[in-house]
Amino acid sequence: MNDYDSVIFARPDIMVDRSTHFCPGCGHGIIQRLVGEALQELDLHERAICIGSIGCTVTAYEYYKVDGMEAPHGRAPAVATAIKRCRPDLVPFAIQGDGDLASIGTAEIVHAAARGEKITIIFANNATYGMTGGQLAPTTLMGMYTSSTPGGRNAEQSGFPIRMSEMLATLDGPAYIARVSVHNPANVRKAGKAIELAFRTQLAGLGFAMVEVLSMCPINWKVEPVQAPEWMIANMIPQFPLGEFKVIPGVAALRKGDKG
Amino acid sequence: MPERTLMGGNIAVAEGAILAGCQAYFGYPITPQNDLLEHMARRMPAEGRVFLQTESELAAINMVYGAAAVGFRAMTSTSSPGFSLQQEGISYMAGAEMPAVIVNIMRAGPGLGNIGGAQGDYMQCTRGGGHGDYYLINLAPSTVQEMMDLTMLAFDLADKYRNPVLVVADGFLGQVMESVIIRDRVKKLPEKKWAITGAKGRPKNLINSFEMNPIDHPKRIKLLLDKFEKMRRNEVRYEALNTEDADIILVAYGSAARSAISAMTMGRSNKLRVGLIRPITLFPFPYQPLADLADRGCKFVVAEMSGGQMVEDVRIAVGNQNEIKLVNSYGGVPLEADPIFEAIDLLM
Amino acid sequence: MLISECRKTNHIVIDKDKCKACHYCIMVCAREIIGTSKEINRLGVNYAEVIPDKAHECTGCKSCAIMCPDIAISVIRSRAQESGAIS
Repeated sequence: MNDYDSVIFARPDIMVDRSTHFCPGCGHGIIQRLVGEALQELDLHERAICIGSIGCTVTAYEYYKVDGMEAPHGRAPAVATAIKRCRPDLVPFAIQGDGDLASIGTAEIVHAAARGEKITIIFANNATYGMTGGQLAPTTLMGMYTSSTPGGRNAEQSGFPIRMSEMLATLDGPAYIARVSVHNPANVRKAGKAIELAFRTQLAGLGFAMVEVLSMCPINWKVEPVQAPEWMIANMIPQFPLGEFKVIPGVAALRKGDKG
Repeated sequence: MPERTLMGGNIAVAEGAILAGCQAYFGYPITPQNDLLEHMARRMPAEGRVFLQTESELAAINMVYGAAAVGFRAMTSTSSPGFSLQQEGISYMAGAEMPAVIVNIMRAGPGLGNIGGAQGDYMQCTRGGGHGDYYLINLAPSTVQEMMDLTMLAFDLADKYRNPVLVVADGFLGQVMESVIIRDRVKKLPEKKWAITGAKGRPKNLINSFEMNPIDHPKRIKLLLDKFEKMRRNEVRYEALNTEDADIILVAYGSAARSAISAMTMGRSNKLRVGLIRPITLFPFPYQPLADLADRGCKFVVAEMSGGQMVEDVRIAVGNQNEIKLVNSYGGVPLEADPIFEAIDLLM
Repeated sequence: MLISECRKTNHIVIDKDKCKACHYCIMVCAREIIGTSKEINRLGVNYAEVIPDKAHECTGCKSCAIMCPDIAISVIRSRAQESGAIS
């Protein structure tokens, strides 16, 4: 490069320069980068604690140059709760998948949200259990093939998908809950802003913040990566509408401070 | 605080934890240790420390894990059904080498069982309890003073070995009130360079038990196994009463030991040469002193409040030649001195 | 122009050994300047690479880098080009 050029997009310094373990076209790769960008932007090298969960996020802490720890399946919100209550100056965050947050960990996320714990949770929703080979998730769509519902999800056997953002937004504890997607650049940009706001909510001590990110899982959706964004639009978004479900005034003010 | 005071067992555990510098307590109500939780709810905030009643024992143990990870002395207390829920978290903590204190005020099981005191979790407590290759030091108080003292020791041993430590008591001991000497507060807590306190001025720290690499994982487990071996060599604790000339050795811990001591006294006043080995650590178990007494030709009476669990460890210690009689109660019923004395009498 | 000579225009740099050939970058590039290599990388895939003849058409919009799940793409904007110092 010469004096005339500037790098306008690169790997954030806070992220380790390495390949990821994700499948080609996996939304987790984008999500983890957006988290890295937020950590970098907010200068959280020395304060962030990355809590890896189970599934494709299990090695989340390998990707950032910040302190990290592993949580048992579903328990990250409880672990984060303790970290924040013991050391309010630290910034614990967790990236959780469908099984972790909406299945085995439902109690932990509901209660962390209800208590208004000042933590940041990123929920990667791809309607399947990716790491273990594509089994039924609480977010699996009706009629959708999974390896444990080979005939397609039906109500009689497996009930209906859960909309976690809407559910948690009914509680008084959360300060910011939003659902975004990473299926095209415009949405990735919005997702990045939401994730950064979720961290800023914690930094401002405003309460519980969660961003649910609809994520592509081409392998288990049985599509080529380039077909996954269409699949997302046709199938995921009707079931899981994008938008903000809880924005307390303090968070709205933070966001207003952004504009301009 | 006065030098001596009357205190209940559960409260002594709570106060012992505070004296030991416990910085975070997370718990869920379950009989028979609700008074411990409630006492902590009042005392911990007053001491400027972290307290939270959690949504479940599952959440409690995971909060202990998080607190331990940031370098805090952390504790939870529960009873048998809640202790079952905590096995997952304890296994993770053992795998990640996290120090913590877990108090199990045992009640009768299996299942919902009964709220009466019992010792039916012995196997669960002394054999790791959760999945994988690990052990926990088990400290078993038998008096209210020991409820305080062993809780304090538990924090030290947890930090020494970077491993969770169990304080194993039962519902009766939790409620009994006795005179207790209030110990001195621990002034200085050990430094924890491995803790995740924010990567400031140092490379990042990682706390986990996950190791996919088939080359590295066995090495990691070997380090743990070596640690448990060290515990076995260095941390055995027991009380020996009247064993020098004894023909019959009672083996009992916790509340059962209190009755066993009464039975021993009854035996001695009837000119029977009875002694007692009271394990204070259930793990590591005092195999050696029992083996030595077996070599001398002693007979053994194991008194426990379970279907018969510690008796298996006594059999391991003693071998196949010496007679072992089990005297037990279960289902939340206390074990009294009389049946123990009858067993001694019969053996003679 | 070859990409290696093209230092006075907006351009991207693709770390070929991180590429998993998901083709998101190809899909989102409005100028269609990205194609696939005939070579394979260390992961065994035909990695994405800038089509040499089209390299100079890069607008520096960053869409490719934003979509890349592997953070394989860096984007460089040329001030010379932006300022009109070169055409």
